[in-house]
Amino acid sequence: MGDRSIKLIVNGYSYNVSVPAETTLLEVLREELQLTGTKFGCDTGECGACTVLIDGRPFRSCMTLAVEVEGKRITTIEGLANGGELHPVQKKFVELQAIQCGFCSPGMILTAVAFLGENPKPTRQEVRRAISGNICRCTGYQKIVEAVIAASKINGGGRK
Amino acid sequence: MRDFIIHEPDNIGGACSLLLEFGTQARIIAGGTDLLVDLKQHNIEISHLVSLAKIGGLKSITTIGDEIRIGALVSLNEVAESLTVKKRLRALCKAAASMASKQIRNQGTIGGNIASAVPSADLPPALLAAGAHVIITSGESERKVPMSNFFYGPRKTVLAVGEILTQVVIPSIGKKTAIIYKKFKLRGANALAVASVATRITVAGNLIKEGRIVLGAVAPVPMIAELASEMLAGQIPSHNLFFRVAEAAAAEAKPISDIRGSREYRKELIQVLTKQSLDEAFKRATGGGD
Ligand SMILES: Cc1cc2nc3c(=O)[nH]c(=O)nc-3n(C[C@H](O)[C@H](O)[C@H](O)COP(=O)(O)OP(=O)(O)OC[C@H]3O[C@@H](n4cnc5c(N)ncnc54)[C@H](O)[C@@H]3O)c2cc1C
Ligand code: FES
Ligand code: FES
Repeated sequence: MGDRSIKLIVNGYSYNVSVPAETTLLEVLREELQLTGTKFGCDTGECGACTVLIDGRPFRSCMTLAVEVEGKRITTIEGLANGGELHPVQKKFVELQAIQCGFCSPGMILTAVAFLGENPKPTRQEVRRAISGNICRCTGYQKIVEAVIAASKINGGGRK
Repeated sequence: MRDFIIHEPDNIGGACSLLLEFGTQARIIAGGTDLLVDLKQHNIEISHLVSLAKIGGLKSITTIGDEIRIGALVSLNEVAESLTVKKRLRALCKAAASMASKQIRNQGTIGGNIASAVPSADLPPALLAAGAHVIITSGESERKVPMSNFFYGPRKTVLAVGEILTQVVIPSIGKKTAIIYKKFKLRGANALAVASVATRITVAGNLIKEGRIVLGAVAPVPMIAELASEMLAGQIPSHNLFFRVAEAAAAEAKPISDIRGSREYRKELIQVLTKQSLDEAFKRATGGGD
């Protein structure tokens, strides 16, 4: 029924895309902007692989229509590193091997970054609760929790 | 998803006229967390969506005296974290916090949770226990509908074509009254209620003045267990009384068997959850507990 022109602000850059109204933010990120770090998992809001930050808060991009986030500030995993320098949460995920296949990692990391912004000195139990909407099928959650705790101890663990 | 046109009116009147104009071909979209699943799975086929996102006045929690008004677009996380709600109806915050995941709670709205009329929805039981009502507008006129009259059946409500739920109104809860929400789910996170109970108790002196027990996920709509509720009025609180009331609530439940639990299991759950919630509500109403 005709495309809609929308302006999206992703990782600080402004993009103009023209997409049908039924296009999800996930589809725009992956297929129009080629930002494939955001993963397509269940497509029904269950798994968290598609998590992105909208105005700093975590959302499911598979459950969000792109037209509904026009003008909002969107952060994907590609936007976390500062120049060549990985975000502390990314660094700790790598260092502590909180990644196996990596499919859940972008969503997991963005969820953790937003969480540390709200709660910079969390307990392990609080971290577990914070990532409970993100499913990991191979690493297991132990190392992920350790990585988030380790990141919280680095100055800037909450920077987004 | 099949293709559709999305309209983003900036006022209620405009939204209502669009809904009237396109009739069964149109749906309201709030957070979209229920609707997009239905559209993706082709449970619903429509050609127009009317977004409420650009309409002002639906996103705040306000108080008038002891009454709380929650705008339909207030997110589940905002309900869970609201100090205003926590002070007067903590059970609603707990119900909201128990839902889905942080991401879905940022997106899903209180209006959507009520209007979608899913039997296992988490907010309606506590709202029914609190005697809440909703404000519905057609653009031209407003009506007030008690939550207890809002639902007809699974996904069926009193909302007519062209109407929008704008506010949820929670009346003053009163002194010596406590409301408790209990939900049984299969995992700690991201799980719907297998059965849920919201219990309200008001005490007067050594007696229970009145009580109300609301059951979720065990009938086509969230239901008040009338017989069980009546058994509480004017009684001396005791372990035995609460046990019998819990049995009565389980007898009134009309659950189905599905992927989350069998009919029999759900009845057992109602008995256990009712007893637990009565114990807690009584403790709170008499000033103990949290
Ligand atoms: C992974 C996942 C987990 C979930 N877990 C839970 C859970 O644990 N507990 C639970 O209760 N729910 C759960 N849900 C369901 C859903 O997230 C909630 O019911 C949410 O509150 C719906 O709100 P929404 O704004 O997203 O509704 P939408 O999807 O936007 O709308 C839902 C329906 O209500 C109508 N509608 C919306 N707003 C209005 C209004 N103001 N006036 C009239 N009609 C309106 C729409 O037309 C649509 O038919 C879950 C969903 C997902 C995807
Ligand atoms: S792909 Fe969005 S939650 Fe699974
Ligand atoms: S690392 Fe493979 S799913 Fe989490």
